Parts: sequence; structure tokens; C-alpha cells
Amino acid sequence: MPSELSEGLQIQSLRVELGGRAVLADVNLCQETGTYACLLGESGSGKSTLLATIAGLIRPQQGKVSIHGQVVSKDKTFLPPERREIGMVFQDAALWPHMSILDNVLYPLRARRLAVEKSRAMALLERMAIPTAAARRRPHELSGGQQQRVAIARAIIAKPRIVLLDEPLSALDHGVRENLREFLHGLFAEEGITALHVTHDPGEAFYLGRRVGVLNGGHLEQWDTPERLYQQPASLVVARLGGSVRAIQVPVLESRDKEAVLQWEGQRWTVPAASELQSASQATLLLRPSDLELDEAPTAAPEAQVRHAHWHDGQYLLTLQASDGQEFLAYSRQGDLGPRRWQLRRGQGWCIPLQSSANH
Amino acid sequence: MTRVVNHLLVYLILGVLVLAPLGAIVYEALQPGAGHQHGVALLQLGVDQHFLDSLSGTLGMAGFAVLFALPMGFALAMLMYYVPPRWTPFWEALILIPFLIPPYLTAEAWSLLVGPVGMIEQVIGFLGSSLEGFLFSLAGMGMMMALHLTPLVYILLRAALDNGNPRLLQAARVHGASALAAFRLGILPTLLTALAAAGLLVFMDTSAEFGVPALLAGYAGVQVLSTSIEGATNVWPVNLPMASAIGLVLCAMGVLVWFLYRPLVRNNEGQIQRRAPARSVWWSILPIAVFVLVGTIMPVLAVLAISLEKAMTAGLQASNFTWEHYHHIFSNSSSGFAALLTSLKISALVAVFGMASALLAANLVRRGGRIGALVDLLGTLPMAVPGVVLAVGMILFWNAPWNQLPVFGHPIILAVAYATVTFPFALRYARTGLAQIPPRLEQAGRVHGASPLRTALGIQVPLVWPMLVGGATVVFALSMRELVASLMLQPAGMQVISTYIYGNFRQGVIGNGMALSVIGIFSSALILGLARKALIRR
Repeated sequence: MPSELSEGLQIQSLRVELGGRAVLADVNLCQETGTYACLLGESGSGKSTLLATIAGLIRPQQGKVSIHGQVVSKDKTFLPPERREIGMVFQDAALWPHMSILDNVLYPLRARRLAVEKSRAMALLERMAIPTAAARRRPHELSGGQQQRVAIARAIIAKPRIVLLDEPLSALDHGVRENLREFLHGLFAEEGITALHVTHDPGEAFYLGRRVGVLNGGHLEQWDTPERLYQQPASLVVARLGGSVRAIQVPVLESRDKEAVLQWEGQRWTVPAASELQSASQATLLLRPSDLELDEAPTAAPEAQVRHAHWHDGQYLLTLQASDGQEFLAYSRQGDLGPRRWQLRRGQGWCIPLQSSANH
Repeated sequence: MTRVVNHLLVYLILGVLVLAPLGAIVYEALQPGAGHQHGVALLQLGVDQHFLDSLSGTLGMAGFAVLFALPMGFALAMLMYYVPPRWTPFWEALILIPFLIPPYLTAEAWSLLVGPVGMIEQVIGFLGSSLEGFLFSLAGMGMMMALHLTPLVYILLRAALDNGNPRLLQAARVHGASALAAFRLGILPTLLTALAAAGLLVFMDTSAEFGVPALLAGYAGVQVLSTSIEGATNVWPVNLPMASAIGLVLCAMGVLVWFLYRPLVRNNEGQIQRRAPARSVWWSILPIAVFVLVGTIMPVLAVLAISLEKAMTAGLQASNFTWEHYHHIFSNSSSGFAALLTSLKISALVAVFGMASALLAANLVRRGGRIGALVDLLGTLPMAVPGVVLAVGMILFWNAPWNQLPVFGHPIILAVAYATVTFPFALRYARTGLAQIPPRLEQAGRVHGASPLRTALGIQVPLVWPMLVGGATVVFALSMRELVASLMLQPAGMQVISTYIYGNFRQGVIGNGMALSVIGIFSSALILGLARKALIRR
């Protein structure tokens, strides 16, 4: 457990209502100082609301927000945004069109009455690969990627305690996005800046985040390392955000510590399981395509019908239908339709409490 | 803290400008009469033949205005949209000009054009006399208002046509509809809404109009509510409860129409989009030119000609030419020049403070919620309340025995009146300006360390600046031409440009009034042009 001082950001029991509707409910997370974390979620999941609440742009109904150990929001305490010592990068850069690039970058220093070091701003712009000559230009004269780099410079110039990034790459072209993603990774790691980055792109979150949180319907479903998020998702929603997955409803024969014995397609399968499974009689088995073996399956293995096959990443991705009608995905060197034998790889798959959801 | 100050200032401004005069009107109309019965003045209206005649006159004039303005606006919008002439922006500017000319000036100009010795008769030798009977009638009064308001109808219909989804039309044609059926399916529904809105707007503006009936109604032998109210406050025996009661009826009519109008224009901001031009045709110039001739060229030429003539009856000839009227205006002791200066000063003051107040109010409206809705309602309410009613309310409020503030009888009362009348326009500009700023730009300011005040001054104001200057321009222009509140509230011994022109016309000293009209239009245009150039940086 990190000490109080190493907590860059701590959120406890946060609840936010907008227009009488709960947009965030019981959100808890703790981020260490100097780390880069990402929040993943679909549109309307509440991730931008969470960022706005941390920034002080929205006042929560309940809960506590601390930045570097200082409580900025709790009950009657509510620090306005300008007193939270944070930096923020918005989706569309949000550079002020009536100011030059240099004035945009210097603004946080002026607003906070800090020493206005133009040389530092110029050095920062240079580091952001913005030509020196562009410093006197207006934002609209720069490309989208350059504008976003200026917004990053503006966010970090005043040495904020945390930088919040609200989908900063989503409005950019693919190539520029990849380039800026690498740049962000390097910059924040070197500077040791605490950053919380909101995105709906799992690839971006897994690339950048030392920790990744998944928000769904205002609830933080999981706050974990990228590896655990992929291999041991807390819910079907989390699993889906990590990549292709199918959920199979199966009876549980026995559940032990971190393992469950399942009965499916006439076979007993021992798979890793969430501790919440306990003594449930039914469970959801989450299967990713790489969890299954088709090409080397023994003759005693169960059979399923290949309903669809398409070429994907150097092999075939097959959609199979088990005898009970449930569908799952698997990779294979062959793309023929019809019956195929299959088996679950040892230690693969992930079993969670029963989730009521369509199998897609 | 800043937010609290913002709230308090807005409440104070709206309270003084809107609530106080309206409250005073309601209070006065419901005052107990001699028999200690409340609302006697209101009840008496039911049996007052003069009131009933005035009511029917107002409804008739407004009805005629709608009858004339809708077809004219519709025809212009359809022509300019589907078969525009060449040089479209030029023709569009000409179509919009009649709205910029004060309606009382259009009426004055047309009364100089018609008649046996009018300018039409002088130039072409016929038509003038037969037009005289039409001008000095209920229909003629309606036509004067229609000329003034047709540009508004045009703007609303053009915006509806431009904002329509062309895909709907294409989808209808692709799936088998004829051109007419596709128009009925894809365009007509939005157009009908805009037509209804335009009709209500014309009705509302016409029923509130004072200047046109004040000039024409006497000769036409009709009465309208606005002039009856003015008469009840200015003509002995002064009857303030009666003026208030009639004002309340006129106000109720305006508010009713306004409530019907507002939902119809929710998605129609009157912004004409620029689209790929349709193929231009030559013949569409003809009907457009007829409107431009009647609504712009003839009245403007009449004003200009009369301002340069020694005697109206002598006609357009070199020996009748004179600069005398302009000399008179610019002479040292001219009351006309003093009126012009007063108007310029007060209008400039109102433009600056009106826009600042509107920006404060627009910030509250933007935040939404009940307070935002209330501020929006109060801020736009003066649109529905006729100027003559507001003026009566101001007399009652600022001249009340308990009100010791030295506002009534001071030129500042005119600034207060102009600010009230123009507030909806100022608020609209400020709101549009704020709507154009993505909230993130201000949030970025706050997050990066700026206080609310610093964010407002350093980020919001510079970004909305062009809209603020645009709004101030409109407020200035509207203040310069305001007539009825000026007539009723101007302190003794003081005149403004509109009351000078109106007064001179009524007294038959027409040349001086027309000369001041020309000077007023040019000086305002010059000042506004220079101010815009200086204030709006590229």
C-alpha cells in the first residue's frame, strides 16, 4: 500500500450527479506520484466527468478527492480549479485563438503569478518539436498534432502536481496519434509527472498506462495493471475492452482458491477463476481466441462447428458453435467451415460470476 | 464571490429595466377607483367605445401588415433561394435596407411621395393622387409596416430554406415524388413554421408601433392602442390609470403572441448560410427590384430630395435647390444639431453599458437551470412589450412620489428607456457570442490557474469581442431611431433626433427634419464604421 505522500491522486467513494442522474457512483482509485495511468471506457461511461471532477470543473455530490495528499474536494471543502495546481490537455487542444502560441504556453505562469520565463517556454516548445518561428503565430496556423503538443507544453510548464488528459489523441489522424503517443510516453516518464489520461482506445491505454481503469456506466469496474486487466478482467465489459472475447455460460462443479472446475461439452475443465466465484453453481467463462487449441487438438476432444472464418493477423480467426449453441472464437491455420475438434489450453480462460449479457 | 456579484448585478439591471416599469403598469391599472374598487380602469375598457375602436384599429393595422408582408417576404425568399439574380449579395443588402429605416421615416417619406402635389405626381404626372387614399387608410398603415418588416420575414424564411436538409428533398425525388410533391414533403413543413413565426413577429411589431399610426392614423380616421396610450399620458386630462389599463391589454397581446412565437423559432436563429449559388436568372430581378424601389429607393430619394428643396410644391428643379436646411442644422444655436449630439451621446452610452449588462446576463443564461431560464425570459420580455407601454411604466415608476432618485426629468431616463427596449437584441448578440466559445477554452483558463474574473476578462471578452461590437452597433442604431419612449420621456427643453424629425414633420417644417434624417443616417454610419474598424482587430 503506498504511503500518503506517494499518492499522486486519491479518490474515495466519489459520486457525481448531473441533472438528477448519477453519472459517477462510488468511484475509488489511488494513483502513485509520478506514474502515468489511463482510464478506459465507452462514450457516456463517465470518464470525462471523472476528469472534470478531479479538475474542479464539476462539484461532486459525495466523496473525497486528494491531490498529492491535499484534500481538494470533500463535503464543504471544494477548491476551485485555479487553486488545484493541475494541468490539463483537452481533446481539441483548447488553445486560445486570440493569443500567440507562446502566450498560450506562458498563460499558466502568468495566471498563477509565477516568474514568466520565456526561455523555458521556448525550450519546452522546442522539445515539443514546434519550430521557434511558430511561437509568435496563432494556434490555427499549426497542424492538429502541433496544436496538441502546444497544449501539452501549456499543461506542464507550471510544474503541476498532476496532468489530466481528456482524450488528447482521439481527434488526430492515425499516424500523428501513434507519433504523439510515443512522445507522451517518453516525456512523462522522463519528467516524472503524474498523469491521468482518459481514452476509449484500449491500445492507447495499454501502451501508456502503468495502471488502467475501466469505467462502465459510472462505475469503476477495475483499476489494475494492463496485464491483469487483460488476463483477469473483473467483468465482461472489462474483458471486451481488452480485445476479442466470448462469454460462455457454464455449470460450476467445484470452485477452489483461484480455480474452478467446469462442466462443458461433456468434459471437465479446470480454469483460473475470480475469487468472487465462491460457491456459485453457474459461471461465465471468458474465452479469448488464443485460449483455445484447434490444430493440435486430440481426437478425444469435443467437436464444434466452424460457422465463419476470416483471415486475421497471419492466421484464420474462426467463429465456432458448440453443441449447446454457444459461440466462441479460436485461431487456426485452416479456414474450412464444418466440424473441428478443439480444446482449452492449460491455465487459459477466465471464470467470473455469472454475467447476464449477450454472447458477442 | 465573482458569481454572486454577477447574479446580483443582473438581478438589479433586469429589475430596474424590465420589472420596475411593468410592475408599475400593473399596479396603476389595478388601482382602486373612486368607489374603492380595484381594477376599475381595466373594467371600464369593456364599455369604452374609444378603446374598442382603438383595439379594432390595432388589430386591423397588424392584420394588414401580416397580409402584405408574408407574401412579399415569401416571394423574395423563394426567388433569392431558387432563382437568384446575378450579384446576389448586392440585392440581398437592398432587400434588408427597409428594416434599417425607421418606420416613421418611411411613412413620412411616403406621405411626401403621394398626393396631388406629391413627388410621384410631380415626376410622372399620375398615380400620386390615387395612392394617397390608400396610404391614409388602415391598409396603407399596414403596408408601411409591411415594407419595414418584410426583410424580417425574408430572413426567417431564407434561414428555414437554408437550414433545411437537401437530402430530404433528394430522398423524396429518388423514391418517386414529383418536384412539387418533394417540395411539399421536404421543404414546406419547415417553411410553414417559419411563415407562422414571421406572421406572429410582424403582428407583434405592428401592434406595438407608434410612429406610423401617429403620422397616418389621424388622416385615415382610425385609432390604435399605442397612440391612445400616448394621448392618455400627454393630452389633458391626463389619465394614467386608463393609459396603464390600455397598456396592459396591449402588453398582454404582445406577450401572448410572443409565447406563441418563441417555440417556433427555437431552431431558427435567422442566420442565412452561404451555400453553393443556384444558377442565376435575369427575370428574378424584376419583382425584387419592385420591392427595392418601393421599400428603399423611393423613400430614401424622397427624404434626400426634400432635404435639398426650398419648397416642396415647387418640385424637382434647379432653381428649387438649396443647402439651407443643412446650414440650419449645423448653425450654432440649432436645436436640430443639439438633438443629434444628444442622441449620439445617449446611444453610445447605452451601446456600451447595454452590451456589458447583456454579457453578464448571457453568462447566467448559459449556465442554464431555472435562474438561467428566468433571466432569459426577463431579458427578452421587452421584445413583447410595446415601447409606449414601457414608457408609461417608466413614467409611473421614476416619477412616483416615493422615488427620490433624480432620474425622471434627466436625460438619463432616455438611456434607461433605450437600454430596456434594446436589451433583447443585446442579449441575443451576447448569447450568440458565448455560444460560439467552446466551454473548454474557459475551463482551460480556470484549470491553468486563472480566477473567474481573469478568465472572463482575458479569455471570454476577447473571444466574444466581435459579437459584442456587433451587438453594440445594433443597440446604437436602434437607440438612435427610438421614437415613442423619447417623445414621452424626454426632459423639458431637450430633444433627440427622432423627436426632432417627428416634431418638425408634424409642424410642417419638413425640410429641416429630412436634412437631420440624412445627417443622422450618415453620421451614425460613419461613427459605427469607424468604431467597428477601430474595435475589431483582424
